Amino acid sequence: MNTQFKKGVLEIIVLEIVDQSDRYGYELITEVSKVVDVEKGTIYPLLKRMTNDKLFTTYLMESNEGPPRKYYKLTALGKERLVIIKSEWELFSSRVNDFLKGSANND
Amino acid sequence: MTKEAFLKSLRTELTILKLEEIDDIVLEYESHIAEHLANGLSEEEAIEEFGNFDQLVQGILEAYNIDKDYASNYRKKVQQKEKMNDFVNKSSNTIGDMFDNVFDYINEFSSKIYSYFEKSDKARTILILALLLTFSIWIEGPWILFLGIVVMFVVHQANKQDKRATHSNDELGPEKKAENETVDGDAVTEDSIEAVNKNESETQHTPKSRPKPRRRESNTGKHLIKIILVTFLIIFFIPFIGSLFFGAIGLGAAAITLIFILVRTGLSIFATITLILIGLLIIFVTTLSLIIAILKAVMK
Repeated sequence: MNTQFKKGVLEIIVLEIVDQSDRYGYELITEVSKVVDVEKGTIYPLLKRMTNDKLFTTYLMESNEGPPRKYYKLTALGKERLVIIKSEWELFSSRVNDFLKGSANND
Repeated sequence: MTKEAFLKSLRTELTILKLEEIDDIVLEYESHIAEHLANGLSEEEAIEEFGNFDQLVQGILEAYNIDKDYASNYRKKVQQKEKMNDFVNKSSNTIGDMFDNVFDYINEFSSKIYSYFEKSDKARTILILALLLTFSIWIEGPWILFLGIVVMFVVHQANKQDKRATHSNDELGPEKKAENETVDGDAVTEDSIEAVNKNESETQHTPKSRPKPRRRESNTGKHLIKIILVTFLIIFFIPFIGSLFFGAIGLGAAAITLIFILVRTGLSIFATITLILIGLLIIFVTTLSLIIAILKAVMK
């Protein structure tokens, strides 16, 4: 898939997944990978930026697998952002789809 | 890349961030790799999946709105500073260890002396006498060195003057020369100087004699050297007069050692000085050990 597409939708997917339940990094990346094929390294910087933007709060929980897991939890600001970005995406994608359908009909 | 190497270089590249942020990021990657291993995959695979390392770092820095080049310049500066600090720390540690070793040795040595002499009062008296002896050597040693140098300098100057005087005698007649030699051969006393002066006044009438000013200069020089020598001896013997019996013993021991080294062995000056310095160090260490041993004995 085109990397430019991926970058754009990655934030929506991440927000949506964390909105379902609190997630730790590895779990979150596994979930994201089910939707889009993405380099694992790029998700952590994204999570960092979104945390810095106060879309997430984080907390640590002990794990049997090794170091403690860092869980991401959506903030009120994050929820707001998800609503806005979702409606933006719907508008954007439907417009693009309509345009593509329209030009297909014109052919 | 192994996990350790990956996390280490990640830390290095993120130097510009706050320590808790770095810890947080490193912890996240560490736990990701751990989860990966728990799912039966290898460390290397997990790290490969992170993709290009530089892009990864750039992505993290972008999350903090930090320019990549700025961060790497900062990191280089910090690394240079750390290198300097490392160097300073290492060298100061080495020097510190050296001193520690010397003081450990002194401590150990003094404990040994103390335990050896602890048993009786007689032994304790010997200990104090030994201390006084070494201590007096330690005090007198440098004095002897200094005085020796002064005396050697003065003797050297006197020899120079002698040579000049002998040289000037060559231009006199054989009788005058002989007369002068007897004067020069004498110990330099007020009488002999008077004699020389008398001699001068006689030579004034002789047309062949050397011009007066140079002769006078030579004798005035000798006179001056004599005064300087006596003054130095008086000034520098005052501490000796003040020093006690053990001071004299120390003086003798040090002087004999010095003379032995200088005369009997025929060593070079450099070797002699080195030997003397080593000797002084040994005396210093011994003295310190004895002082500590005595302090221990007194405090008990």
